[in-house]
Amino acid sequence: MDGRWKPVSRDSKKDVKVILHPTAAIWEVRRGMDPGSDDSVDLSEFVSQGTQSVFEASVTLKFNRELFGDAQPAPNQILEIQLWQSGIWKPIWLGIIDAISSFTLQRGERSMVITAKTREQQDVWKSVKRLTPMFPQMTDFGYIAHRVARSAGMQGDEIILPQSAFSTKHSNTQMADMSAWEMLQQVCVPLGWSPFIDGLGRLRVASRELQHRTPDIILEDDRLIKVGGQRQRPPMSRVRVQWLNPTMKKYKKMDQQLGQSQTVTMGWFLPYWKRTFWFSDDKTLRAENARINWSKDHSQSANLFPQTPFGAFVSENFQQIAENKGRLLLINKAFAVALPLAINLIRATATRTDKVMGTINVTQPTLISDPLGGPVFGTIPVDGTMLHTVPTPVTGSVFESIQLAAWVYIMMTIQNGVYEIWGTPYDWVHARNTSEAFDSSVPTYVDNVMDIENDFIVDESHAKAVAIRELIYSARSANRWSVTLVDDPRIEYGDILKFTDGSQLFVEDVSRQLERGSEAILDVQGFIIPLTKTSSTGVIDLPSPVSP
Amino acid sequence: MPVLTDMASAEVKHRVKKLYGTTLTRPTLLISDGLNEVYACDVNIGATDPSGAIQQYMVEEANRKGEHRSTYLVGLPGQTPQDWQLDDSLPGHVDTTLHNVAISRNNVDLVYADVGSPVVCERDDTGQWQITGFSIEQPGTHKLYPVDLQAMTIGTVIDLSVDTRLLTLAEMGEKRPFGTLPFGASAIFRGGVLIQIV
Repeated sequence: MDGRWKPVSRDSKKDVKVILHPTAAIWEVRRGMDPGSDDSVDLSEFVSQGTQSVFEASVTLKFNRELFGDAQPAPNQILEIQLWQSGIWKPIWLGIIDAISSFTLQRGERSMVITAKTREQQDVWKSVKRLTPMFPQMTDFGYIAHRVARSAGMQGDEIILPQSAFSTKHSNTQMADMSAWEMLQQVCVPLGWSPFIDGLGRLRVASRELQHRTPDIILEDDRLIKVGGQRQRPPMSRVRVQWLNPTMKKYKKMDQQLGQSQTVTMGWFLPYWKRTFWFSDDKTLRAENARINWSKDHSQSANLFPQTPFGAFVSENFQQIAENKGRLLLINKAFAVALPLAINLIRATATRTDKVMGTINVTQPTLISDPLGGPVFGTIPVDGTMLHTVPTPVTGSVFESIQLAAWVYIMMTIQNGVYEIWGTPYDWVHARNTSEAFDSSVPTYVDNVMDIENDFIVDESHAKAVAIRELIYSARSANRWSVTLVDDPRIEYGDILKFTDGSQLFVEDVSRQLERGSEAILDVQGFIIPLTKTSSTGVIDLPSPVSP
Repeated sequence: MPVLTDMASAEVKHRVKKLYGTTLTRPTLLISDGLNEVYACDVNIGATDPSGAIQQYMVEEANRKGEHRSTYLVGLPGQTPQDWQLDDSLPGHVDTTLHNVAISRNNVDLVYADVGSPVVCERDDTGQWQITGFSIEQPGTHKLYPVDLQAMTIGTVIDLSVDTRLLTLAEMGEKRPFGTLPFGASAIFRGGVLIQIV
């Protein structure tokens, strides 16, 4: 309801102005033109007939030479319609000229028809395909609608949306390959809104909820002139809402080998070997229960490294570190590294030498042969005077053989291991749920189905509310009615009118004549909302459209 | 909705060549030429048939001819057909199963896929559907809400969600004499009610 207006008195005549704005933008006209920049061209004196509805205005102009040249209306200029009330002129409708037609020039008559439409019927709204930004989880639906409207050229003060009760539940949401108007509708359906452009060119929404709504305007009998039925369509009897469940479901594939086999060369020379193992080449495969397959048929790794009395030289471990990868870790046991170190240490300690004044002073028997120590056959001059003889070369040979055998054994422990990692791949999938509301009294042979696909639905209860609300709205709106009233500029799209008999009308369109001095009447088209009946237990409440 | 829009919409739907579904049965050998094998399984493709009118027509037509049918048969060639119980109390028998959908060749993962796997079915130029891979989307729940537009009341919710899963040990003993069903037996449930063991 447009609260700027009051109902027109009965039997009054219209006082209408049709104004052309050749250069101003639609928001400049609405905000009010500053003196000096006002580009208004009053066409009222040329109007021979015209009509204005919610979405369109059509004006037939008859003129002499006044509208030739630069003064001629052109597409994309703003057409403003003003009504006189309470001593001032106020705009009741703003639109963009869409077409100039029926341009006639003949002796005694020059005429043209101007057709203007509301903003959402421009190509920028209805034809151009768009891509929205990616909206993260918990983005308010109203914010998304706001962004879409801004992308279609709306100013901030032209977007009047109520607080929305829902926010996105998917991890990310993006709309693509849709026109701006389609995007708006997609966002508005879960909220129970019908977007529309009001008389002042602003984006607003009307509630599609029909139950338990307070009427916007109550009309007395004396304002009702005529009631008539219009084309009756088969009512919608079934609404199926298909929506992508934000809660993902896990499914598992069969147990299988993950990724490629890993061939590893490992031996005494490496203290450890570590590698991140991805479950697939593209690093996206998720799996659980990942492990080394110890079967000899698959992994040639199990216990291949030599066993010792102290256990295997190398421990082989696989640990899953993320849903799509693990770590293969081979650890050389400490003694495998320490053993050669220990042998060398024995050799070093077995031949302790002291340098004294440039000569060698053997202080204890050498156990190991040259070049590091004994056995030494002969004498070594010590201090230039004393000779020392090593008596037992055999002891050194024994130790030498042991350490050589140990060296060879350790070096033989170089091995190639082939590791297969097995596991159970899984993935998360979205379920596309269907929530269906149907009129239980309609037989199958006249079933009339409407499908709604909307991924903004957040859960089952929300889908249920949407399906039922759309079923009621669609079923009711099949039967259109036309009511002729004493003009009431307050009435706009989405209003609910209540009559004295209690019946209510949902306004889908209005139409008024624009000839100056014509009778002030208004044709209203819409559909009847039946009264809510009560059962023995009282009024049955349908699910609320705004709460999940 | 204008006629042109209706036609355009119908044309778009007709051209759909891809469906997301869930396997209801384990793949079974359908045909073999001795060298290659073609496996097939049943796939739940979700609610595509408004109100199940087609199935309902089939059953009603059979009843009209005096052939009372409350069940219809499913099964692969060479198998013993199994009854799929239809609940006559439901408002329309909704069949969401695409039967005997062939699995494209050289796809071991699919052949060994367990029941309940999300798959994508594609239609070839001959009009036949075949499973070509795993999907990231699958049919979910399907719930119906009867509304009385005169009294403005809502009836009991009808759950037609089709699900398939392995039977638990308790269910195995409950549905058949214990020991007759092998471990790993799975079943199809509709609205949580077991309707078929596969």
